[in-house]
Amino acid sequence: MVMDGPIPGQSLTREPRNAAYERPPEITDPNDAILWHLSKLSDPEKLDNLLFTLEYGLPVKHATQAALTLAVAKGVHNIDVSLVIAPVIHKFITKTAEQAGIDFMEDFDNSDREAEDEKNKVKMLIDKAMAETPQEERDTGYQMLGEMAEATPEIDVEQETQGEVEPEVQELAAEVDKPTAQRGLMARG
Amino acid sequence: MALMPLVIAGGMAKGYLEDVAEKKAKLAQIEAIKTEWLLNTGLAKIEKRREQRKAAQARISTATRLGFDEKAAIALEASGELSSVITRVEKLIEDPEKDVSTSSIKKMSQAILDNVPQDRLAKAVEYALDLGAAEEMTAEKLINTIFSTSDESEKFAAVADISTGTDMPSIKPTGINLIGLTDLSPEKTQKVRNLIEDRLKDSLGRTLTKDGYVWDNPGAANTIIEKALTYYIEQRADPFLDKDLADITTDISDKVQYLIGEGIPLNTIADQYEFSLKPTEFDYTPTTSPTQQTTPIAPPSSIIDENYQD
Repeated sequence: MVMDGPIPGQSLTREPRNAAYERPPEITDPNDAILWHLSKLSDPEKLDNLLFTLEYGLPVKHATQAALTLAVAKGVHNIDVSLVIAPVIHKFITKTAEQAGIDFMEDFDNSDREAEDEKNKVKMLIDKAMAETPQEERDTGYQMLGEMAEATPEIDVEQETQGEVEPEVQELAAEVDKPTAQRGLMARG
Repeated sequence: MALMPLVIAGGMAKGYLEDVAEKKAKLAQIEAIKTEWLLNTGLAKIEKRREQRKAAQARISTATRLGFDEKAAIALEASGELSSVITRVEKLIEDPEKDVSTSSIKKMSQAILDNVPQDRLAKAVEYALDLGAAEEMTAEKLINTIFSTSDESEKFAAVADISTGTDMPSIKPTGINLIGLTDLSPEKTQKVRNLIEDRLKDSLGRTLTKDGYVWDNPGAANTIIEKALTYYIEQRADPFLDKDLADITTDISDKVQYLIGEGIPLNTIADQYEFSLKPTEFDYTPTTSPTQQTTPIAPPSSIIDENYQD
């Protein structure tokens, strides 16, 4: 048996409120949290990396989970807000991928694997997307992928990111869900 | 008095609606920025990246068609050399004077793989790129291939290692010597032999007689030239030769000159020296008896005694 877990009481030896998630979150309103995420994900430097990662096979579900987990780890919002906004973020990523004409996956086809395997798979795909990022394109989006890759051990892969939208975010969810006229590369001409 | 709660509720509703409207406006702004980027830059960027990946896969396919091992082709692609290697190999194949052999390409493939550092990074690059080498890689294929392996944890660790650092996972340029892919014809071998003879003529001693050139010590000279020729051919076939072919003959000539300069007899050089060895490291057993000393060595004390006697 491998005894590599923390010793009981070990957490009490650390400085209180040292980690970002131990402090009050920066955003408590789920709608503000949605806007925070969407503005981050729409940043051209980050959006290209996100789309390439989806193209390499990272399902939207796990991309959403990674983005939310990263925000919680940074103390932007708490896990409760993550649960509320997850369907909206998922929808936004799906819609963007559709607009970009990417052949993406919603979830892994064979999702009956161990959570640990699934996390490893997510990390590997993010790593692959990073590895294939040309040197000159290693910007804040590349850093974001690096942070996502680091956050993968903390991802709750069993958390559903699709489903019923909570009433408090319905207004923005409806806006995100609005159909877009132009889709894919073929729509450009 | 009953109006007050309604006013408060109305105020709150108004505040809420204003807040929602403001957030919707922000969302519309985000959407506009995203759409503009997608249409102006993003789609073209995605298409470019797809084309780059397809081009890389096509290069690997071409290299395997030429006879390269798939993994060696991937290693060359990772080092950024595959494109130029393909161009040069194709030129060699088209050249009627050059005889490119499949066995040489296979040998070179193996040498490339042996040359790739056998650390986790190399394994990761090899593995990660191997997935989509010959055909277009799909997400499903990638995942299935990864999970069809038995040693998953090792594969994960290896692939995960790719980009945990800040540097691009790449293999250093292998600097392969493509001339090694071609066989040396008997005519060209003779030309090389003549060249070596010419470079060694002064060191080995060659004189012109009415019958042509004659070596002073034909047995030793011919053995040395044969060994030099073998060394030249071996060096030429080295997939990672990092010097010009002319440098090999200079190297041969320098080594022979050094050994002769050290006073080593030609017979000893012919019998015991191999050109792959540095001349400074040549440890030999004299094959001819050293010249008899005409003056006996006398102890210093006797010299002093002699001086006193004068």
